[in-house]
This record gives sequence, structure tokens and C-alpha cells, in this order.
Amino acid sequence: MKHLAISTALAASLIATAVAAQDLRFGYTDPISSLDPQLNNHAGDHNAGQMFWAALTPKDTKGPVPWLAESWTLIDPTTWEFKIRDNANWSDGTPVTADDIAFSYARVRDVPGSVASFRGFVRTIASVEAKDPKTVIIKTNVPNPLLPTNLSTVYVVSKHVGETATTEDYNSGKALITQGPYKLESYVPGDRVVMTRNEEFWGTRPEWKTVTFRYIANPAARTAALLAGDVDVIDKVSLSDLQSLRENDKVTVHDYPGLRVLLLQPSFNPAPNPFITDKAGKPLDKNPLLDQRVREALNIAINRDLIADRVLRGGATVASQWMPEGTFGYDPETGPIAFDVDRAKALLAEAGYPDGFKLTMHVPGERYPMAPEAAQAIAQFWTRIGVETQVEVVPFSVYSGKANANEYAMATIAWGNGTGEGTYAMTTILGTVSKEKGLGASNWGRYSSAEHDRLLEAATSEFDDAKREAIIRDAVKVVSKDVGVIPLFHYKNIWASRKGLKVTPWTSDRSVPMQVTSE
Amino acid sequence: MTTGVWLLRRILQAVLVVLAMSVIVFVGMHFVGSPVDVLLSQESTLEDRERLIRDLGLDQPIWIQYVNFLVSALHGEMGRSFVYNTPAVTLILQRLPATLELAFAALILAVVIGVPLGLFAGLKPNNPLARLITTGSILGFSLPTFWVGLLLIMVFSVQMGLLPASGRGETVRFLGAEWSFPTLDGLRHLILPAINLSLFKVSMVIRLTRSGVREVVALDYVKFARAKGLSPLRIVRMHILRNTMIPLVTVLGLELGSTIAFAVVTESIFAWPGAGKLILDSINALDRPVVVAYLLVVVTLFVTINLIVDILYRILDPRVRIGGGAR
Repeated sequence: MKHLAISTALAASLIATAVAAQDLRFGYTDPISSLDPQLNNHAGDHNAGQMFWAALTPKDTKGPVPWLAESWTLIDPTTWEFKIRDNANWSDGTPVTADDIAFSYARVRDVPGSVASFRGFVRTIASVEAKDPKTVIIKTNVPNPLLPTNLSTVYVVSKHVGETATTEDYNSGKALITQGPYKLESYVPGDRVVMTRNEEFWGTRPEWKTVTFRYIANPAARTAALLAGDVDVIDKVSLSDLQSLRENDKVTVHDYPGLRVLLLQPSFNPAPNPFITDKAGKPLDKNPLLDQRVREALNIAINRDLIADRVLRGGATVASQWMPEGTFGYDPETGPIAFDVDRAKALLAEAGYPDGFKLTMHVPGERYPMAPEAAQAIAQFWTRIGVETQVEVVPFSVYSGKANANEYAMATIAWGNGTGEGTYAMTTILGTVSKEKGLGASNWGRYSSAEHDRLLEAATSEFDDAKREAIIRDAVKVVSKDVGVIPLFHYKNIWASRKGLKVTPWTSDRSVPMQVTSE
Repeated sequence: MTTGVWLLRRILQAVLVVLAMSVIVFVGMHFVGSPVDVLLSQESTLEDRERLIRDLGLDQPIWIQYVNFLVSALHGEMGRSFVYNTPAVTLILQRLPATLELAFAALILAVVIGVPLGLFAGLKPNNPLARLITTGSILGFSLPTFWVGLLLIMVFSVQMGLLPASGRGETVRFLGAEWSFPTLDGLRHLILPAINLSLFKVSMVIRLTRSGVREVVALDYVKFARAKGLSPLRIVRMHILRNTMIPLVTVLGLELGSTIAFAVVTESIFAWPGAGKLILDSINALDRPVVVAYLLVVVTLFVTINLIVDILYRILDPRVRIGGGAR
């Protein structure tokens, strides 16, 4: 027994020394569905994908992940020319060519088994041609100023290996001929990905020689793994652990404002809604949420500061619109939403509901952090102005279908603002639902404004950045006046690391080891 | 009844159970909602949605989907996971070794710790230590696994820094799967989750052994053996323990099955990459092929374990053999 204890201690010290200063072990929240970078547009898949693959264009020019294009020019409104970096090579030594780009954008349209496809990002592309091995001509079917932004999300895979590769080949590592800063060492599904630095890499070489991704979905387990020294960094720190981690002198917390917004989507369905009744429980003959004054009353009855501070424990910043301050499309003139109970009551009375009504709001259970807790607080604020509100917490598997079918009176959605600019939400959350135009896929409240749609169209065909931003800001004003959605807060990105490490955020919400540096 | 007929009947029963299960899962998951809504990313358009519904075959009526599933199952094809785009059975078999070694480690701990303690408590019921053991076993039943797991991590990993807090250690490959128990690193990772998972079982074994021993000690054949002048050790080994083992084996067999199938709490606290976590995620994502395949694997496991238990039973208790022969 004594021998065992000694040998265990010995082994522990051996392992401790084996973890050299050049290794980084990262505890992740989001799982990955595969190592095929074009299979699914999931957060976890992106985190791993960025280690191996670069896209043609940058997500963030200041960010730590390189991109393949040296420069790009717009030849005419539907023709783009991209120059690929001369030194960009695959890990097997062959150069990255225009053919690889063309192959990647063709494959991404139809990856077998893909459920969250990247197809949408290449939708406007009509053709991709190789002018010479290092020059790509991309023609679009409509003028699309956002093409470089769209392409920054689509990873480029190699033609010579990828042509015959299936998702299984990527998972087994057979097809992982990469052009990114790291190479695959091993992948154990559901557990870890181990990668080593690509010493032949054409871009800036990152600090860490070996990086291990550990998948620890349970927030308490993730915190414990950091405290026990099993991992060096964790992402998406549980808000309930935040305080104790801040007080722990072996750990540093790194929190920064993020892009992801939590919104409420009131239902614009004119038919009576089963989740809205009068105080006695009888259905109302028309949906009161159709009245702008009622929506505005609900909007200003919420004390957002209190929710961000107390419910989210400082893990969020208050939102006045869908984009956070300082981003492309944020409208500084649309100020903070004032918390005003008296005016809310007056507005309700003016709209013909002096005594209020009964409302049931819906929120998915696990999907959006702290959303059920925030919803409970909101229900109390609304009850205070006479709108007696109940919260129903529903598993996401049930919720998503019903929310999508516009069955709820008040739906909750967290929107990632993945492209880092305002039109993404306008297209998906705010645009009038239209299959032909591909708009409003997550417009669960069925908000519809002709003015907003006109501005969206104008913004998505405007090549001048300054003008485009002005248009998006106008759209913010339109939606705010309409109260088309009720913005609540933006989630912060919170990492925690052992002392001596620094995590630098990125304008997108990605979480990659290249963001981690030693102090 | 010959063993052959008995076995055949057992297998037939299992097939019926699997069929019934698959119907329940199909219909049940159909009513919960559509996997499409869960799987699609929020930015996908209505067109993407329709395409995915078609790709997954969800545009067909549920009974046609079921018939299609049966036909391909008969061809040995259990379907591909919606989420991972990998054959469902491959996915489960990849994760199952991790769960199996965890469950067996917990079972071994339960027997190694539980039987001696239970024996002692049963033989010396008035000894203060025995009382402590009996009372203490209540804790094993009543403390929530989740909480104990976190406590173990806090004490042994965070405070003392002795053992890793999460994940599976180094693995070696044999029998076509990755196993972690033959390596030192693997064992270190295995200790805490195995203790956590075994806690309930240890308590159960203690109580079962104790009550079994108390019952047997008072019986005539034990008295007779004692009168015959047999050594106390021999009485305990041959007469008391052997008779106590019979109910114990039955319960442990069933318990092993449910541990393998539902080790999910321990797996998620210790980030153990086992099948329990997979099935939970799959249910949440309405990943039907994985859930159906998993239930199939679990039913097969249960049937096999029950079979082994029955065989052990026949070895341990001669009455079963004779009774079985006469039936």
C-alpha cells in the first residue's frame, strides 16, 4: 500500500514535469461534431477548425488566426479577384492554389450528412475560377458587398486530398492535410483533440507547441479541472463560480464584452394567442402585442441593469439593440432603454389595457445560459405593471419546433451575431419571413416591417462601408421604434486560466488557444 | 427443459423487447419534436430546413420511417447519427469501453469493500464498529452522486492535488478498443469516478450481505456445522458466505446493467467520455439513430448479464439446477 502511494506520487510529479511551458491544455464547453471543417457550422467545430484551417478572408484583421488571401479587389459589382499568399502551403508541402478554393466552395454546398451547413455563406456565389494558380475570380449572382465577410467563415480544404475524402477520413486524420498553424496528433471523440504546432506554417507561429482540447461540458467540472490543474484555461466560466474564481489567487479571470445577444421576440400573429388571456383566464379576441404601445410598455418595464448585475452577476452588458457598442452597425443614437414603470403603466392604459392581461413567456432550459433566471426576473417586472407573467421553461428539443412555428406569445432567442456586423441579425431575426429571399429563418415572432426590409436590401447591396453602416443604423432606429424585438443583454466572454496566462479576446466570440499567451 | 431451448426462449424474448423498445423510441421521439429544429443552425434558411428534412427522411410518415429502419436494421445497418454523421453503432462502441471499465471498476470496489464489511457487520451485529458500518451505509444510499463527486474532486484533486479531476487517462489498444485501466495514468483517472459510482453499490452490498449473514447464521445447518466442530473460518466460507452470495449475485448483475446504461451523472461530473454522456446528448438533440442503437446495445447487455447471472445461480445453488431439470 505504501509502495503504491509512493509510486502514485512519483507518477504525479512525473506528469507534472512532463507538462512543459510550451504545452497548453484548454477545457472547452462546446463539443465538436467532427473534424471535417465543412460539415457543421457549430461553435465547437469552429474552435477546432481554426487550429487546422484558414479561410480565404479574415474574421478579424487583428485576430490571431491568419487568412489565405493577400489582397482582394472588386472588379465590377459582381466580380471579385482574390490573390492567394505566395507562401501559403499545405502541411504536405504542396502550395495552396486557386483550385483548392474552387473545390472548397463547391464541396461546402453539399457535404453529405451536414445538418448545420455552411451553404448560406456561399449562396451568392455564381462561379469560382482560377485565373492562375494564385488568383481566384469569384462571380456572384447579385452584388454582394459582404462576400469577404461571408467567406471568412468557410474553411478552405485541399483539393488533392479532399476530393476523395469523407467526414470519416477527416475524423481519422487521414484527410487532415492542413494549412493552419497546427497539425493533428490524435482525436478521441467526446474526450479530446491533441495537436502539435505546424513548424512549416507560413504565418506567424503561435506560442504553444502542443495543444490539447479537452471537452468538459459540465460547468462545475470545468471549474474543478482548472482548479485541480488538469487544464490551463477554460472557456464559458459558469457565472455561479465567477466570484470564487476571482478571489482565488492561483487563477485569473478574463472577461470581455461579447457579441451574443439575448432577445425576446413578441408574437405578431394577429390570431388570438393561447398564451395571452385576460386576468380571469379567458382568451383575448385579439393579440395585444400587435399594439406598439403594449410592446413598448413591456420593453421599458424591464430593469436591465438589475438583471445584468444581479441575475447574470456581472456576466453580461446591458443591450439597447442587437449589436453591442463599438461594432459595425451599432447605433449610438439609440440610447439605453430607460426603465420607467409609470410610463409603462400609462402606455398600457392608453392601449386599452389599464388592468393589464395575463401572459406566458417561453424560454429553453439549457441552451442559453441564465436565460430561465433572467426570464423569471422579467416576469416579475411585467407583473408589476399589471401584465401577470408566467415563465415556462421548455427543453430545447421541444422549444425549437414550437418557437419556429410561432406558437409562443413571447419567445426567447440568443443570437450570436457571428459575422460581427449588423445585417446578419437583420437577415435572420428581423427580416420578414420569406423562403424565396431566404429571410427571417429565426424570426420566431414574425415581426415584419417594410421599412426595415427596404433598409436591409439597401445595406446588402451597398459597397461603401460608411454608407452601409449608416443604413444599418437607420434600421436599428426603425426596429427600436417598432419594438420588433426586446433586447435584453449581451453575454460576456469569460475565460479563466491559471495565473501567468493572458487571454485576449477577439471581435468574434471564438475561443482558440492562439488567444492565450503567457505573461 | 434443456439448456438449448431455454437459451432460445431467452433470445426470442430479447428480440421482442428490442422491437417494442424501438417502436416506443420512434413514436416517443416523434412526439417530442423534430430533430431538424434542434440540429439546424439559427441562420439556416427555410430552404435549408426543407432540404434537411428530406435528407434525413423525416418527410415520410412515421410508420414508413419505421419500416425503413427495420429493413436496414435487418441488413445490419442501424443508421447514421444525425449529429456526428457517423454510423450510430460505431459511435456507441467507441464510447462503450470507457463506460464498461468504469462500471466494472465500481462493481469490483463494491464487492471488495462491501462484502467483508457486510460480513463483519452480520457476524458481530453488536460490535460498535459494525453498527458504525451499518449506519454509515445509509449515507451511501442517501447522498446524491453529483454532490459526492464534486466533493471528491474538491478534496482529492483541488485541495490535495493527488488525483486528476476529470477525463480519461492514457489508453492502450486491445480487443479492438481503447482501455485505460492497464496504464498507471489511466488508473489514476479511474479512481475517483469509480469510487463515486461505487458508493451506492458498496452500501447496497454491505446491507445485503449483512442481512443475508444474519439470516443464515441462525439456521440449523450452521448450528450443526458449529456443533460438528468445524473451524469458524470454514463455516463462514463454505456455509455462510456461499448462501449469502445467491441474492447478492442477482442484485449485482442487475445493478451492473443499470450502471453501464445510466452512469451518466458520474460521467458528466468527471468529463468521462463514456456512452452515458453520449446518450444524454443524443436525447437532447433528438438524434434518433443513436438512441435506438443505444437501447439495442443496452437490451443486449441486460440479456447477456441476466444470462450470466442465471448460469452463476445454477452453479451457486444446486436447487436451481435440480428444479430446472425437473420442470
